[in-house]
Amino acid sequence: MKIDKDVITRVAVLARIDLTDDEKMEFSEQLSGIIGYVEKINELDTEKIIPSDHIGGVKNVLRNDTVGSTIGEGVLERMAPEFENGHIVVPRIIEGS
Amino acid sequence: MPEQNILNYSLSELSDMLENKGISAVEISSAYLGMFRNHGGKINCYITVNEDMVIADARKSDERRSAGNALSRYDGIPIAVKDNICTQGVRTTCASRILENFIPPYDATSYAKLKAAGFILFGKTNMDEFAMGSSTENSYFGVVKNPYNTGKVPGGSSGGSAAAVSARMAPAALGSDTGGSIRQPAAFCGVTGIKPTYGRVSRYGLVAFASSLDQIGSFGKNVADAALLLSAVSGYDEKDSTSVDREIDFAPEHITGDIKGMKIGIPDEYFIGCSGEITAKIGEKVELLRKGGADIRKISLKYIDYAVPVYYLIATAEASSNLARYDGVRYGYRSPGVSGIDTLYNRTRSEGFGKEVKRRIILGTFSLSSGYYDAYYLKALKGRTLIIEDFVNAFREVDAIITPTTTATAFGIGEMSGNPLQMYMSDILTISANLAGIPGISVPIGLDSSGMPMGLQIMGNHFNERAILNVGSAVEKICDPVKPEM
Repeated sequence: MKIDKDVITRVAVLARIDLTDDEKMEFSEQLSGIIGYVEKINELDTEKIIPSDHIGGVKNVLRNDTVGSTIGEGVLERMAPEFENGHIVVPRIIEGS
Repeated sequence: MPEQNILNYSLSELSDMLENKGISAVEISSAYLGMFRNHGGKINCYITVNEDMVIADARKSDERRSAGNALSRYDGIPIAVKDNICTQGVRTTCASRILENFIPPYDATSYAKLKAAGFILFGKTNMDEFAMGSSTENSYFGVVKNPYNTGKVPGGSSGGSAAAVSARMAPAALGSDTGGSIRQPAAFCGVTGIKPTYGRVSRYGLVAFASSLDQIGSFGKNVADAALLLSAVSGYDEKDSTSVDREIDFAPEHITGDIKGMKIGIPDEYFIGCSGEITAKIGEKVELLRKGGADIRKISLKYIDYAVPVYYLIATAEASSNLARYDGVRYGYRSPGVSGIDTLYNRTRSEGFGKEVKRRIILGTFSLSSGYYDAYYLKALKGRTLIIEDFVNAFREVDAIITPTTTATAFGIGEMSGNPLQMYMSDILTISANLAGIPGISVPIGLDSSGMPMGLQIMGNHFNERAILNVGSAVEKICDPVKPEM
């Protein structure tokens, strides 16, 4: 399948990545090559095959609900790009005063 | 104690020297810091080395030992840690601009285990950004050079860890392996590297790339060192829901190199397209193993041609989901001066991620998106089942499988950077072990005619690290040790 510039543009929106026109052209060409190659999997007869999203043996793991220490506000403040009065600051997301 | 000798000691020799008071932890770390000062800039294998902290930690270790309070017999030995493994208070960048100044508030379990045994954090090693790459050229902190030839790549993505051990800038190192990221650079840099069974080492605190494939493993100058370091970080961890509680039966004292009667499979498919020199060298070693009593058998792993397609669909899909967390809100890089939350997300990610990371996020988002999911992602998951079954069948017949680690020795810097597909193909022999969750090790078997190291890969059944380490040890005994001229 050819991954044209429109597909790249649409996928980039989903991935929340801005791409320049040059990057879109480059990715379109490279991803078309990669997808063309990975389509080799269509040769596999998988009609009766169960998909493996893991190697198996994975089960829910529960832990006791005990009180423990957590990451302190000071640490969060040092990690956050912008921090004020105990809150991480982000651009306004609701219009109004 | 001449510094040169310290640099060549194995972990158990360093431990013996420390325990018998012949040498101090400060002397050991100073010797490695000396190498780092002389060659660190040239090889670029580290992103962060805090010399004052290393010496201070070494001094504390010496004080503990003098007071009879050594945390273990390895207390005071410095270890390099790949920069995608969280170290509390020491920045962990994943070689990405987006985490350039990220200082983790907690330790990864693997590193916490090392710390509890008194190992010293020597530095954080350079890597491909978010472990996405096979050459360590995709780092925000610059390309890593191969210690055997600085015009060549060290392999990747754990290229910094492999180069550091190879160039004697650390006695041993932790890395991570999602599709060969320990074994391929180990082969390119002439060191031993092991990826354990999925679930053997906790992934808590390992920055996620492809969660169903990622595993932490070790690099050593020899098989015993790799085994020792791996056994030190292995074990059940309730903080990782995929962690498995199994006996750790592969500490160096269990690794004898005895392969008498052991059934070893050789799959022809893994030699297709392989360099003549590597094929010949492996043939020679296999013949010696046969003479040593191993039962060598031809086997078939017929799905190898589908491993790269299956892997790149699954790994990029998981990556696109895992890397959604980097949005500029809570930690890491934030694009400055933007208004509007969508612009904040998009600009932060566009400016924070490098090209290969973007390429893989786009590929993964594509294969998970509506209309393509069944044809690509779901089909790949079914392909993965076939690859797993291929190995299940093989291990009904044999105890271990020997293949080359790579089809060729290290390639030139820049040689493949314009061709991502060609780069992806360089993982063809290592990827299947991750898809099947089985352990694999690469052991150096000598240099090719251009003076570059060649690696032999041994794969084993789930939780049979002991078997592959034993074969690795047997191979090591019939090979001349290799070491770069520094």
